[in-house]
Amino acid sequence: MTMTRNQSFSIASILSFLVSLLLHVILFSSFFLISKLLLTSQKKFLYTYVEKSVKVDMVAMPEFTISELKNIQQGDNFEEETTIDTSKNIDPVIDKDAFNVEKKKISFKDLLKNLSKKNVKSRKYKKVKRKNGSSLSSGNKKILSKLIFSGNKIQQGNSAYGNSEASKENSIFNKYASGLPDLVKVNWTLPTYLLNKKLKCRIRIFINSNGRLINYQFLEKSGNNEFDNRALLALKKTKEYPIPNKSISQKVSSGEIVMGFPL
Amino acid sequence: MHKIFIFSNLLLLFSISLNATELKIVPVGEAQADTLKYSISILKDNNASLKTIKNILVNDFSFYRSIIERNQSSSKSDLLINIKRENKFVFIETTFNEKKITNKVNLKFNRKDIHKVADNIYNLITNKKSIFNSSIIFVSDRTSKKRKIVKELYIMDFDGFNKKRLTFFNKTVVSPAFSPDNKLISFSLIEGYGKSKNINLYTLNLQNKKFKKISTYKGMNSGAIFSPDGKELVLTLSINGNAEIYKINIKSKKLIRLTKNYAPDVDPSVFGNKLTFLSGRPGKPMIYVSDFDGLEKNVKRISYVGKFNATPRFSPSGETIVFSSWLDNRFDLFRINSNGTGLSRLTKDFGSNEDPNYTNDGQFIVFSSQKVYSRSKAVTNLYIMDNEGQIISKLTNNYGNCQSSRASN
Repeated sequence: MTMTRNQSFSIASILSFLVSLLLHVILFSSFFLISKLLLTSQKKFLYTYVEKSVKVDMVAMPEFTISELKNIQQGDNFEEETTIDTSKNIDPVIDKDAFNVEKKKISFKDLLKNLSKKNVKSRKYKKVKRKNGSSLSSGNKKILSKLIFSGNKIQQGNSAYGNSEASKENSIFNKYASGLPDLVKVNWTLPTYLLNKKLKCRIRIFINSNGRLINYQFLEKSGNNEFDNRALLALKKTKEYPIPNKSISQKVSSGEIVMGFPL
Repeated sequence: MHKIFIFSNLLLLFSISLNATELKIVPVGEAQADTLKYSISILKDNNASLKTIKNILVNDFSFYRSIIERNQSSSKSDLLINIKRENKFVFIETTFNEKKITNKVNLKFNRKDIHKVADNIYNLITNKKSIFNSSIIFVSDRTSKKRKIVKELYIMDFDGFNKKRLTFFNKTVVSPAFSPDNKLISFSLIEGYGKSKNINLYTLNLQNKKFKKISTYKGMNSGAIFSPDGKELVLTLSINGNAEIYKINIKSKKLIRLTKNYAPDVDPSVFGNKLTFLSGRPGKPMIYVSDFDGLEKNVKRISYVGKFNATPRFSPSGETIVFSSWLDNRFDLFRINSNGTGLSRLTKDFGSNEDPNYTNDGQFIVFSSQKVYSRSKAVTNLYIMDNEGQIISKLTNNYGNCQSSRASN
């Protein structure tokens, strides 16, 4: 039997198609296998950094020293906001005389004359006893903690020194995550011989909807057991984590936050 | 082939992204150091020298109170120090983390011997160098006679002991500085009277006590500090009338200009390839940084506030700069990161504080503080504080007006 030219062409095209299909299948399966191999190792997560960002306006030399600022921060226990009781009669602040003066249109010359006649009352000031130790009283600390310090102006910012793109999103989850280091850092201590050794570990944390650490997983170990244990201890010592918002509690409890010690 | 390669890469990335979980890494930051408890005891001996050794060690460790703290009971201590005498020698045994070191000193010791022991113990704990072996040079007017003000150069241990006079010019010495190997001291001397008055630059070799004239250009030759390799001196010259920063080779006397501006540039401090200085360019004295290896190279202003800033000095790590600034009718000390961020105040309500200078380990700052007692009486003394502004110790007392302190490297 002899094949026609068309028949031989169609067989050749089918064959080439099959070869091509086979090659594609091999190619795809090899990619799949390679990707699986890569993913079954430690690199099965995509990492993004979350940093607390602050916008700093440098407008004057700082008024408070480092130790004074530390004292203020320690005294700042999220106290209840003071509310003004509007039920009480409040004396009007408006000075009626001030308006009358404006109406009279006194010339500058008269104003100077009046000023020269004015007797300056000498006020008696009560001597305030200063407590020993801190120069800031506890009452002042409360007030100061709510002020924006001249020269130490710090705002919760939108633009930032923090480099991460994620922090700029300012999402609830990022806000939640970026608030955690302040809580953990209090308990994050190392013996002096472990400082400055450039050790690093990363721990994935699982926080439930009540703000409790329910599980942890070491994603990276430093190679020094004591360092790793100290990092873990810092997490465990932090008894109360903030209660996550309902919208993010699933993410928080499923371990999407990784604490980097130190980075 | 090229297309297949691109396609395969895209496919690979796609397949990875499909499977990966996105995690947020939150950096906690550097850990704080644990405060170690130590106990120190003398083994069955009433010798006065042993008590002195104990007191010196306790005083030395009190400088690092955030790292090492004395504990009266030895049972709960991380570090045990035992002092015992055998014939004419004293043995100081230290046990820490199952490690034991023994230091031997002669019974007729001097304070520096004990500082060395303290340094060995500190090194055992932290693997770092302490300030215990360092010295401080300063200028005092204690030899002034009535109207004639004389300021001479002195040296003392880091804790204010062992003060020694180094110069006998009967003139005014200003702005001393240590060389990187601590063998040389540079300083400027005001010489001549009237129109011939000039501020000349000298070095003093601490080993052979010889002086050498380095720079005598007309006008100001002052504020000198050594370059990191110790071969050059960076100083302020006013050759052309305006104060500018130059570097001069100590051997060849070759001069290289580092700043060029209509405004005065003074007070240089160097770390590695970085220079920080004070400049009047913006109308007020502000802190600038630039590269150390060229004229006006990468000049960057880092301070934007303060009525009058002065004496910026790099920390040994080069990360921060300490300086003084005029605030509330006096000078106070401030700290700023060398990139211009993190401005912090260090002193307040402690007189007028000037001339800050970091110690070799970067943990402390030595500075002068002037206390005004009356219209006609004001005394300037030297103090040492930690790098967060906690005063550790007063270094001079009843020693005239002391200023321009510099700690050794």
